[in-house]
Amino acid sequence: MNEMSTLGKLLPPMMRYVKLGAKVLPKTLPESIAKFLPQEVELSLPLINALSSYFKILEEGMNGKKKIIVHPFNFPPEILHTLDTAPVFIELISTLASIAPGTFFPDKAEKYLDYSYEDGLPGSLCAGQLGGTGAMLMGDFPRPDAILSGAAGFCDVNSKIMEYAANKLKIPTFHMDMSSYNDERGLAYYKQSFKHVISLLEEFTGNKLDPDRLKETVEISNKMTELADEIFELQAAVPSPILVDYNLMNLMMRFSLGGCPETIPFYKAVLKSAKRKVKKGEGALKEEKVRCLWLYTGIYFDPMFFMWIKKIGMSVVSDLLSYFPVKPIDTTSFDTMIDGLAQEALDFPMVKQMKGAVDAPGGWIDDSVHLAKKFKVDCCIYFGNPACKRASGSFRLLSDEIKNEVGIPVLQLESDAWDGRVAPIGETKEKIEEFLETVI
Amino acid sequence: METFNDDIKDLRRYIDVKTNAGQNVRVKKCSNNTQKIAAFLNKKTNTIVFKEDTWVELGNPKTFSMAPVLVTESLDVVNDGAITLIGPDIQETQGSIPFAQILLLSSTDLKDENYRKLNTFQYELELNGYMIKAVPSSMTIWSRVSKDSVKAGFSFEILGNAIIQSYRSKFNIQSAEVIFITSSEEDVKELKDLNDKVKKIVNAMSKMMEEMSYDCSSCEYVDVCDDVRELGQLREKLMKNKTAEGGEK
Repeated sequence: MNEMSTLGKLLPPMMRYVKLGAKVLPKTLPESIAKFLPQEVELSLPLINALSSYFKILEEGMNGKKKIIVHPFNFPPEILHTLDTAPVFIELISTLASIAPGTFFPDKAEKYLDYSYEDGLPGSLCAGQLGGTGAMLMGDFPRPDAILSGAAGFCDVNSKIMEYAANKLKIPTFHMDMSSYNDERGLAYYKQSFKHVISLLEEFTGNKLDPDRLKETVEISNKMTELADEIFELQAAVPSPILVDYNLMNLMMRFSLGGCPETIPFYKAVLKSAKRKVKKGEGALKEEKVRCLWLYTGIYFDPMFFMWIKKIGMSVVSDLLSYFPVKPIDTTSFDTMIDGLAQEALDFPMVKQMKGAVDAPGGWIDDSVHLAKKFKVDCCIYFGNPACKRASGSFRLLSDEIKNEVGIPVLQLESDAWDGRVAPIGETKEKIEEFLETVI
Repeated sequence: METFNDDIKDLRRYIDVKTNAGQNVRVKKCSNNTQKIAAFLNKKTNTIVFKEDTWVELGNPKTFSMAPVLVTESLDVVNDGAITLIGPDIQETQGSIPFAQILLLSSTDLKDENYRKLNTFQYELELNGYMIKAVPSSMTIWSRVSKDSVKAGFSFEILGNAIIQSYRSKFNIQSAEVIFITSSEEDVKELKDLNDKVKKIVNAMSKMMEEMSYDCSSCEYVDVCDDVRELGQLREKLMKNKTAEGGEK
């Protein structure tokens, strides 16, 4: 380790306290108490429990009991959990460093980003992976045993950084390929690649993908899908019964703990809380002043940003990364499960929308217009990301379609979800306020 | 667009076979009287139907569903206002059932380019006690009907009426017809080829509209275009427009 930065200092106590919290706190609260609490508090217990289970898996990886596999967010962790590995999606590393409170961890993800830049990776790549790579190269995050690269076709930057990190760390890398075709041939090609990577993982870990265990995992995953889908529909209620925090929590659950039983109490708690509010005609916010759809990612480098969003009365019904239009997987046979997981990976957020043409059926434009109409939002915000050139380059098409089809305004910002230096949070807030005051 | 004329004939034959086999096939006529559906029209609030308040779920992804839209310029091919139901009506069944919702539209004024919008518009239907869960791009239909709306008389006749009237108010169409199938998964799956054809045409048209070049040799939809005359014509038209604009040929 060269120099300990954010995660080196943050992870050990964080893991300790989360585990302690899960041990001493109840897993859920009785309805008679929960109904009087703010939603953040109500959800915190099942969230702590789920996080604790994830940290336990990570700890086993750090202790050499499981192999740590770093993967892109679009690879379903169900496979990696069934193979008894410790999966880490690379953006999680950047996000954990980004959300660390600046008072105690002033480096946040920036030192990792700078390390990657100094190592030769250009700043025009995505901070979501650069931060994670920097942390791994600095030795500030547990060294993975292997890297899985599988975002080519919708996020080539992601794949390239993964390959680079694996080369630098001198660890094996497994590549998954994707066709630009959106038809059966594209799906067949992807499934073939998916199966090939699974066989490589089996060989690497020495663990065979056990059909019975896979079935257990996929059944839990299906339950997650069912509950998350019920929650998703409730976002149509006005006012919205779910806080913006859920969007980030949802994607963390999906990308890290897909197929793990600890996720179920979390989704059940969200659903219970949201249903209660809908039945009473209440919103999750004291007063919903504006309903908004975030067209791409959120802002993760400032943990107080979500607090501010709630303070100004903005309900964020969804963002692209927390939109999972996935279907339950057929568990009839081993093959149907593998095919279902491959299809799920193709339907994961950003993959579905950014693979191929953004204005193709089910692409970024289609899905955004659908969500804006379905949830009757007042406006949309695009936070931008310097690395996502295809998103920035095609944004005007999206923006025009939303204005023409839905008739609502769209705010385009230039910021970075993980790097606060691209646009300081104060500037982002000012622009949002100005937009709401003048256009809404 | 005449692409679907033969498919519509096949659909008529399919209905005849089901009728002759003694299946429950009923035909209703769309009423111009909006009073019948007035109680279910919902313009302001989003409809949410909780799982426990659901009378029937149509086309859950665990089963099979489809929602193709077939368009023709031949006005005599579509039975204007007909609502055909093969299988049980909403009040007659409960739980989760497979579902097909097939919309036949005829118009001499529609542009081929509108075909994708004609397919996705059905997902914007807003009725009290009826919640659509499917994503438009899935081209399937997954929805819930609430217990309360069934008590209030919701039926496929009401749903068909609402769909036909919403299309009439949005597009310039001369006639519209709806066919619902709820009888069995096998009955819905029999029409899978038709649904796949619609999907391919929508995708091919969309790709053509967004193309910067028109190189058929590298296109994934070349087989669809070979089969569908209108796609070739649309391609020629788009290429002409591009040449006129001074773009790439």
